[in-house]
Amino acid sequence: MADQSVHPSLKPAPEDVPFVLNGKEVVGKKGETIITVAAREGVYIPHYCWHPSLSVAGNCRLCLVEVHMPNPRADNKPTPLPKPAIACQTPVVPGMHVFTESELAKDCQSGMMEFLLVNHPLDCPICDRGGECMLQRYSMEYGTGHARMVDKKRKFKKPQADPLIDIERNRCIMCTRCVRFCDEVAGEHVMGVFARGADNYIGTFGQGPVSNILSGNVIDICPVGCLTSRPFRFKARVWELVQTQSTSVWDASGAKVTYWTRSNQLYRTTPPSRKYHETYTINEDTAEFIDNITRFGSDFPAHEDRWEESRVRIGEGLVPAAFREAVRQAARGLTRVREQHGPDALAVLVSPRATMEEGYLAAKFARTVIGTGNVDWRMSFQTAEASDAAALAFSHASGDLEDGFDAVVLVNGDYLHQAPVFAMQVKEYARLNEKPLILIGHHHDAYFAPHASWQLHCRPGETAHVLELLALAVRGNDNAKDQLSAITGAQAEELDKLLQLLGHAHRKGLLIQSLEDMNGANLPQDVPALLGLKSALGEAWDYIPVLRDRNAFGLYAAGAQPGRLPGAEGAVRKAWGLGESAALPVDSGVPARLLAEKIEAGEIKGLLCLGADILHNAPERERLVAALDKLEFFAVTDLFRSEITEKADVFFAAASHLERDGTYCDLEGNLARLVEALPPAGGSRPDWEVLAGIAKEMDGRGFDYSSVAQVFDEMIRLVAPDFAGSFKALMLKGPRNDLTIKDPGGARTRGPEYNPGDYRIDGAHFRWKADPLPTPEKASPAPERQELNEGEFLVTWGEHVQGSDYHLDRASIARLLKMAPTAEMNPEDAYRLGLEDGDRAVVHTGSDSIEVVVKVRRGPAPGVLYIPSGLGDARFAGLSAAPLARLEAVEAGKEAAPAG
Amino acid sequence: MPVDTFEKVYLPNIERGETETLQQYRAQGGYEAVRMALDMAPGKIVEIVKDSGLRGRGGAGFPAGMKWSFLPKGVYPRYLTVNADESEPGTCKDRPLMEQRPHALLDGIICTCLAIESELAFIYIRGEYYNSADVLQKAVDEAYEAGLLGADVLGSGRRVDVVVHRGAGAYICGEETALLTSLEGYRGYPKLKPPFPAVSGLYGKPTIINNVETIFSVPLILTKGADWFKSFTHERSTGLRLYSVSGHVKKPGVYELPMTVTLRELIYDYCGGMRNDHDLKFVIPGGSSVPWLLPDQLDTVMSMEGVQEAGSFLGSAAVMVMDHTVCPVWAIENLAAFYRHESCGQCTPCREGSSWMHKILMRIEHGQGTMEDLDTLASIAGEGKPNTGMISGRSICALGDAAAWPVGSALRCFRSEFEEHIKLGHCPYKNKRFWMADGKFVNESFEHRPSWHH
Ligand SMILES: Cc1cc2nc3c(=O)[nH]c(=O)nc-3n(C[C@H](O)[C@H](O)[C@H](O)COP(=O)(O)O)c2cc1C
Ligand code: SF4
Ligand code: SF4
Ligand code: SF4
Ligand code: FES
Repeated sequence: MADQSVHPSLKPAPEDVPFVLNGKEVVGKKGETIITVAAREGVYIPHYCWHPSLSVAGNCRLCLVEVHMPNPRADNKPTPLPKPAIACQTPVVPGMHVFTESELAKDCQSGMMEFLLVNHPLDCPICDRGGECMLQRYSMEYGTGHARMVDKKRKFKKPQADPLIDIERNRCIMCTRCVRFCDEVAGEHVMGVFARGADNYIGTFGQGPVSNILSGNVIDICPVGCLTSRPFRFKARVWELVQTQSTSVWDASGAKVTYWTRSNQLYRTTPPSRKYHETYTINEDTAEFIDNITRFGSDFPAHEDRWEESRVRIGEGLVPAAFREAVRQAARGLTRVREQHGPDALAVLVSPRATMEEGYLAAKFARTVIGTGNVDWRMSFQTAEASDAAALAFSHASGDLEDGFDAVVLVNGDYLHQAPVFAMQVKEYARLNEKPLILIGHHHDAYFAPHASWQLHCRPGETAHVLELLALAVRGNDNAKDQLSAITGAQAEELDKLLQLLGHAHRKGLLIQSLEDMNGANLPQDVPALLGLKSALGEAWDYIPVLRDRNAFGLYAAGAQPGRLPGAEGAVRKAWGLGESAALPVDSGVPARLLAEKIEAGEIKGLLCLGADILHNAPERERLVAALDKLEFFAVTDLFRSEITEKADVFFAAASHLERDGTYCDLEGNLARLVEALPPAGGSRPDWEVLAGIAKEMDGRGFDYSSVAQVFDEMIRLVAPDFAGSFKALMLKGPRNDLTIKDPGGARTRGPEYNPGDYRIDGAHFRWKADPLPTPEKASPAPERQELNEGEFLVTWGEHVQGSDYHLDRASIARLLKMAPTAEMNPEDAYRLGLEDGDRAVVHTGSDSIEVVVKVRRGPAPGVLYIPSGLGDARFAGLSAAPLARLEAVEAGKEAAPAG
Repeated sequence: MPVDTFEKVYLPNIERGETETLQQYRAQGGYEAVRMALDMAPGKIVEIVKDSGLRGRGGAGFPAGMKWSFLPKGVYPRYLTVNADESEPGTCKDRPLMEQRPHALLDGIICTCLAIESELAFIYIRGEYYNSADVLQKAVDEAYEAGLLGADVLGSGRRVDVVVHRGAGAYICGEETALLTSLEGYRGYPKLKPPFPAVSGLYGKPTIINNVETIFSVPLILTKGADWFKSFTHERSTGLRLYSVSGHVKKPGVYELPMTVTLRELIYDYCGGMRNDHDLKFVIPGGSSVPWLLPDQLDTVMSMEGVQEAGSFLGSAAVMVMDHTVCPVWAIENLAAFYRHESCGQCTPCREGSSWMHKILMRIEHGQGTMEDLDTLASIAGEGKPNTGMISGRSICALGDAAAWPVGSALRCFRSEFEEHIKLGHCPYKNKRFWMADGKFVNESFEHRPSWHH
C-alpha cells in the first residue's frame, strides 16, 4: 500500500475544525486559514497581499481580525488574544471566535488604509487603474475618508521602462503580489524588492518580466496602478469601454478573455472581468491568468495590410468586388474545376483558427456540394502519418482539469509555450495541492521540471520504448523495470516508488501528451505507446493530447478532416439530406500535409482556403506558395493582403476573431463562444456566410442559414447529441481557466468560490467511446543509441507561441512579443561544456547555423538540445527527426562565427 | 559606592582590557563545562538550564531552557544560531564578551550544541563588528586546532562546527527570523510566526537562536550550578546581567550586576552620578526600543519584572541616561529617524508609520508643528504601551512596536515640551546654553547629531 513515504500527497484527509465566525458556527479543515474559510462562508475580509494562487506574505496587514481563543486555564472560555491576528495566515483552531467587523478589526482596517495613502500620490485622474483599483475601492469601504498626512510624499524616479509593463512606483503598496506571481506561478525570478523602509520599491532584474509568457498577468494581479499595461497606457478610461466576454484566439487552453472596445477599436484584452464584490474585477481571488500573446497580440486585425473588401481577379489584378459577385465567381471557378477534373481535384482547407461552425460547414460543403473528402485543417505536422496519429490521440481524449487530479504524467513537450494557460493550470494544481507530477521523455517542459516528483529522461526516438516498458512494469514485469532503469538512468528505488504511486488507487490520474514535439515526428509510435500505458493504469486515468492549434479539437469534432464525420453516419446523412445510397466521401480525403505534393502532381487543381494562416504557418511554406501557381482555381478568405492572397482568383475579406461569432473547443473538450466584439470591418464577412453563399450558388441544399446560431444548433446535435446548453449560454459560460478548483481530498481548497450564479455552466464534453488500446505484450526493441562527441547534441524542437506567426507578426506590438532563439540544455551538459545560463552559442545543424542564447534547465535529457522552432532563424519542421547538431560557445563580446 | 559581594564572571577582565587566549582560558578552568556536558545526557543540560531560570539576554527575555525544549523530537539536523548582531542603540555588552572572552563564548556554544543536539552553529555577527569577527574567527580556528571543535569534540565522537557569518549592517537582521533569512542569503525580511524557528528555522530545520550573553551564561551555569545562578534573583529574573550604561553619567560602561540593582544605584553608585551633577531628565532603560522612565522612577528594580512594573522593558539592558540639557523632542526625533531608516519596509504599519512619525517629529522639532500633529502622533504611536496606537501589535515583527513605543512614551512624558515647540515655532533648547561644572557653557545644538537621512 502506497503511503506518504511514496509521495506526500497520499496523506490522510484533514480533520474538521469547528469554530465561530462573527457569531456563526462554521466548520473549516485543519490547516486552512481564517480568510479561506471566511470567503467560503461568504464573509469578505479585505486583503491586498493575499491571493489564492500565491504564497502567504502577510505584509499588507489589511486582513487583521479580532480573535478570541479558548483558554484552557479558564474552562476553555474564549479569551481575546493580546493582538489582532492576520486572517490570511492564522490557521483555524477548534473553538476559536473570529470577529471580522469588531471595533478592533475596523480600527485596524482604517489604520492600514490611512497608512497606505500616506505616501500614495492619488493621481487617480491620470491613473490607468482608476475605476478598477482596489485602493480606491477599499478607501471607500474601509478608509476614514479624510487625510491627516500633510508632509511631503515619497517620490521615486521612474525606472527604465519595460516595454510591456509600466512601473509607476509611487503608487505601489508593496504587497509583493507581482514578485510572488513571477516566482511562483510564472516560474521565473525576475522581480524583487529593493531598498528598505518607506524607501523600498519594486523592480526587475535580469531581462525583466517580459521574457516570460505569463508576465503580463502582474498587471491585473497588482491591486493598484503601479503595474499597468504600456500598450494601453493613457488610451482610455476603463468605464468608457465596452466589455465583451469572449475567448482567446491564440491559446488552445481555451482561456476566457474580455475584449475591451470602443469606436470600432480594440483597446485591451484581459482575463475575464467578473462582477465581484459589487464591482468589475479582473482575476481578483481567481486564477484567471492569460498569456502575453493573448493579452498583447489580439489586435492584429487592425494591421494596415487588412483588405476590407472582397476581390476578384480580372486579368493580372485583383479588383474590389461586391460580396455577391465574389461568391458567384468562386462558385463558377469551383464548378469549372469539378466539371473538368472531377470533385477530388478540389480541396477545402480550414484554418486551425476557424470556428467549429466554419469547420462544420466546410466539411458539409466539401462532402455534399463538391462531393469530395478533401477537407482538412491539419497542416502543422511533420508528416501525414503524424496527423493520423493525432487523430488517434483525439479519439481517445477524455477528462479535463475541472475536478483536478491525484497524479499527472506529462510526456515530452514545451507545454508552457504551446498551451500556456493549460500548462499553468496543470502546474499550479500540482504545486498548490502537492500532487505528484511525473515527466517522461527526451524533452521535459522546464516550467514543470522544478516541481516534478519524478523525471524519466531518454533520447529522442526512445519515448515510445520507455512508455511501453513503463506499461509493462505497471503490469508487474520486473524485467521491464530493470530495462527502464537502464535506459532512463532512474534509480531502482525511485522507480519502485513511482510504480507504487501509479498503482495507488487514484480517484483520477491524468496522462498528458504533446502532439507538438518535433511537429509530431514520433507520434505514430508515441501515441499508441501512451495509450497502452493508459490501459495498463486503468479506468481512473484520463488522456489529454495537447496541440497548439487553437481549435484543433473543435475542427476534429466538427468532422473537418479526412476520415471523420461530425457524428454518426446515419445522423449526418439525415441532417444533410442525403439518402442511404447518396455519396458521402469520408475516408478518401487527402491530408492537408500532402497538399503541395498533390498540387505538384496535378491531382489537386482547385483550392478553397478558409484563412490563409494555414498556408503561411505551414512547415513547407515555400513549397506550398510555389505550388499555388499551378492551381487552376484558388479562392481564399482572409484578413490581409499577402503574397498568398495576391495569388487568389477570388478573395473574400474575412471577419476577424473580434468581428464574428462562433464556437471554439479547447484541448480539454470544452466549448467557448467567440463573441462579436466589433462590427466586421468594411465589407468583411464571417467565413460561414462565404461558405453558405457559395454553396447556395452551386445549388447546394441545406445551406439556408440566417445566423451562426443555426449552424451551431445543427452541428451540436450531431457532435454532442446530449448537449443540453444553447449557443447563447456558451457566452456566459464560466471561467474554465479558474484555478479555484477544490481538491476533494486535500486540505488546501483553492480559494473562495465566488459568485457562482451566472457564470458557471457546465461545459460540453465530447466523449468518444474509443476502445482502449491494449498494453503491448512486449516492448518494441530499443532504438540504437547514437554516440555523441563532445559538443554534439540531438536537436528536439517544437513550435513556440512567441515565434513567427502569420497573425502575430501583424499585431501592433509584435516586435515586443517575439523572443530571440534559445537553446535549452541539461545542466549536466552545460557543466561539462562550461556554459552558463544566458551564454551565447552557435548551433550548427547540417547546412544551417543558428545563434542562440543558452538556457540551462532540467528540461531536455542529457545530450539533447531543445530549440523552439519559429524563434528567429530556428526552423526545423521538415527536417529529419532529431538532427545532429554541433554547439559552439560564443565568447562574450565576440561576434558569432559565420555560418558553415 | 556599594561593595560588590559577588564575583564578576562575565567580564572579570574588563577593566584590564585583556583578551584571553585559549591557553589563558584553559588555565582558568575553561572548557571544563564542555567536559561536563559531554558526560551528561542532552536532556540533563536542558534541565539544568531550565532550573537556573536563565532568560534570553537579547531583548525579549524568553526562558532559554524552555525555548530549547520546544525543538520537535527526532527532527535533524538542528542548528544553533548565536545572535551577535547587537545593533540596538545603546547596547554594547556582546562586543566585549566576544572580543575579550571569545573562548568562553565558544565554550557556551559547544555546551548548547550538545544540549540541543546540534552539530552546526552559526555566529551571525553585526557587519560593523569586524574586529570582533576577527577575534572570534581566530578563536574558532584555535579551537578547531585544539580538537574542541570539529568532527570529534575532545575525542567524544560528537561533532560541533562553528561558522562565523558577518552581517551587512542592518538592525533588522538582529530580529531572529530576519537573521535567518539573511543567513540563508535572502533579503533580511522577518518571517511570519508561527512557525517559530525552533520548529522551522534555518533552511526549514529546527533552529535555536540565542543572544551572545545568553549562550555565554550556559557554561557558567554548568560549572557553578543552577543554584549559584539563582542566588541572584529578583522575582523571575535570575543571574547576573550586563548593563550597558551610556549617556550623561560620569562613568558610562558595561556593568555586571545582579538584577536586584535599582536604577538609582546603577546611576548614582556605580556610574558615579550625572555628569556635571546635572538633573536627570529621563532614562531609556532597555535599549532605544522601550518606553522611557522619568526621575520619579529611580527606585525601579532593574530586573525584567521591575522595569515592566514601571511601564517599560528591560530589553537588552542598555540604559541610556539623559540630563536636563537634552531636548526630548529632539531625542525622540533622532530615535524615530533610526527606526524609519531601519524598518525593512515589508509590512504596512511599520513601513509607513515609522516614516510618517519621523516626518511629523522633524516638523515639530523644527518649529513647524501644529497641535493636530500631536493628536495624529499619539494616535499612530499609542500610549507608549504594547498594542496601543496604529502600529503596535499590528506589524509582522517587533520593530514596529519598537518604533512606536518610545514615541508614545515621549509624548506622554513630555507633552508640554512638544507643545512649547509648536507655540514657540522653534526648539527651545536650540542655542540654549547650559552651565557646565567647569564653568564653561555648552551649546547643545544640532551639529553633531548623526544623520540617518540623506
Ligand atoms: C528589531 C529587532 C532587533 C533585534 N536585534 C537583536 C540583536 O541585535 N541582538 C539580539 O541578541 N537580539 C536581538 N533581537 C531579539 C531577537 O529577535 C531574539 O529575541 C533574540 O536573539 C533571542 O535570543 P535570547 O532569547 O537569547 O534573547 C532583536 C529583535 C528585534 C525585534
Ligand atoms: S492606484 Fe488607485 S488610488 Fe492610486 S492613483 Fe491609481 S487609481 Fe488612484
Ligand atoms: S507593484 Fe503592485 S503587485 Fe507589485 S508590490 Fe506593488 S502594489 Fe503589489
Ligand atoms: S515590523 Fe517593520 S521591520 Fe518588522 S517586518 Fe514589518 S516593516 Fe519589517
Ligand atoms: S492579506 Fe493578510 S496581511 Fe495582507
